[in-house]
Amino acid sequence: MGLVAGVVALNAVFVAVGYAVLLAVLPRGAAASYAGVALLTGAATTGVGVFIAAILGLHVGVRSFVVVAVLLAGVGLVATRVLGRTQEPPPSARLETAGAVALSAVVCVLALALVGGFRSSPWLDDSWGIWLPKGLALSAHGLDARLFAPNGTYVSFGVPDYPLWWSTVGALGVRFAGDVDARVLDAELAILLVAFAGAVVRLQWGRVRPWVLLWTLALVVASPELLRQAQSGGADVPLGIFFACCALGAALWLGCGDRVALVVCAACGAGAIATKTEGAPEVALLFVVAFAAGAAVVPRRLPALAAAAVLAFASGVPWWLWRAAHDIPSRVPLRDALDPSYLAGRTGRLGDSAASLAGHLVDPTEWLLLVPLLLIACVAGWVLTRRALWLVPAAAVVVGLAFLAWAYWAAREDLDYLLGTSAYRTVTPLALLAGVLLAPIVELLLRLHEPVPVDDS
Amino acid sequence: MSRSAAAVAAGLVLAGVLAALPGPGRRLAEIPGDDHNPVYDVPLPAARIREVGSELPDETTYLLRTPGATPLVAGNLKAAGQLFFAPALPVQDERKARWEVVYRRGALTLQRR
Repeated sequence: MGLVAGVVALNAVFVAVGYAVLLAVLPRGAAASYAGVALLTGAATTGVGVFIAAILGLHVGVRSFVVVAVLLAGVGLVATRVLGRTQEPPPSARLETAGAVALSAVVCVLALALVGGFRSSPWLDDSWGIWLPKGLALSAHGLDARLFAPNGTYVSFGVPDYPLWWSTVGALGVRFAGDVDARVLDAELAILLVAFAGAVVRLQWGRVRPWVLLWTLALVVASPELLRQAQSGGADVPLGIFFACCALGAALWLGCGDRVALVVCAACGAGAIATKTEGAPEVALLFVVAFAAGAAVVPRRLPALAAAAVLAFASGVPWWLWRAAHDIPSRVPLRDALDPSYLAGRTGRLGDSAASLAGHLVDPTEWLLLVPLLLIACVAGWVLTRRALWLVPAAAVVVGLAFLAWAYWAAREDLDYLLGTSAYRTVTPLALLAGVLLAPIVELLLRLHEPVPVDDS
Repeated sequence: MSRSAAAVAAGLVLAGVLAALPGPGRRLAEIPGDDHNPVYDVPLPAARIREVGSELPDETTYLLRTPGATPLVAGNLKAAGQLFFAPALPVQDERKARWEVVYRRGALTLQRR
């Protein structure tokens, strides 16, 4: 098909599957505005599905892709038939002039990033040295232990503990494009970035005033580090997108009872877990924070959130079983990470790790001011109301940061090397988390001075 | 035209202008663009690597030898092999290899064992 047509066709299928999965909860009359939500949902669920199919013995390719896409679409359509379609109208709002200016800025940046994605070959050697070769091996041999489990006979891949959603999607991109074209990865990243922006806007449209929503989104998409990493071909941007959308989905479900957001939470949680090895603990911590907050305010919505969490983690089980069956060790063994004597002997690493990670997060030349602004907004809300709930978004970022610092603390590799080669990108999920939660927090702050009903459930 | 459509159109026009002018917009749009090969960390014969990949039979095994090469060159070639020589399987155990890919002084050769 060629690069452009192939990647577009692949994502068109993702969109179609996403719409089918969301159909039962999709508000009537505004389906087109949910395209970004549908793409992320479809990419997450279809990619995870094909990855699981590979674990079960299928090769990653057009055939397994079609089977999984049809199955997922079928599940969505059957669910719609059983449950019926929602009668809820989509939340709506009128775009103000300030919002229109921000929208122009967002569209401008994303258009350039999209063009650049299709024209750039990844600068991160992990992308063409690990992620894409793994995908091509999944395509040619399936999940073959000769290549995916270290052994002395065959040359196996590095970081064997990493899950393979990104490799799977990369291989599908290559199959659709018809050539081993390294630009497939950057093209897919660019499309995911555009879908992410569309999803963030759609999910919060009508709940957050447009100028707040679009200016905070402009801060996110104009972050130099996001744009740089979007051309890296690496898995950190998709992990960040899925992680942030999982968090946003949980927040909107708890705060507004938005059922589309709940499905997004489950799908993107599964996507994050299947993208990188740190995805599972990060998503787990996210759910812990969400449950703690939800228990204090809307306990009636926790069972559904628990179901979303169970679905997301259930999708990771086949990979964990395969890893256990083939003795694939974790890059940071849990035994080390939980061993006080081991950790006590290397406490110097903790401060250096935390300082480096926090430094990347607050560096305005990397992520503009996303994290500081979120922290300031949360603290301002807490000071003004004395309600600890305001601190939850900040807590989610801080807990994520603490987890990363702990992982670097426990890791066996040379710390300077490890931090220098990965800290700038392992913070991506936290920066995007801050980015997507900034708008609702600012909106709530503004509402403190304009008393209006907040709960639209 | 609605305000949203006008804002989107304005953003696209602005993107077009920025892509045409030298500066960050042009860099973000990756003008001029890369080709379909990976951006290797070291100069490697990208076209020859693809050629070797097309010459290798599908159902076979190969051993990569990089005598005298730096670890970076060897690592890049290992990854390039996994990318372009698939579905041929790379082996560590020489006895299992039916083909040998040798990189020496910038040249890549393919030999049957």
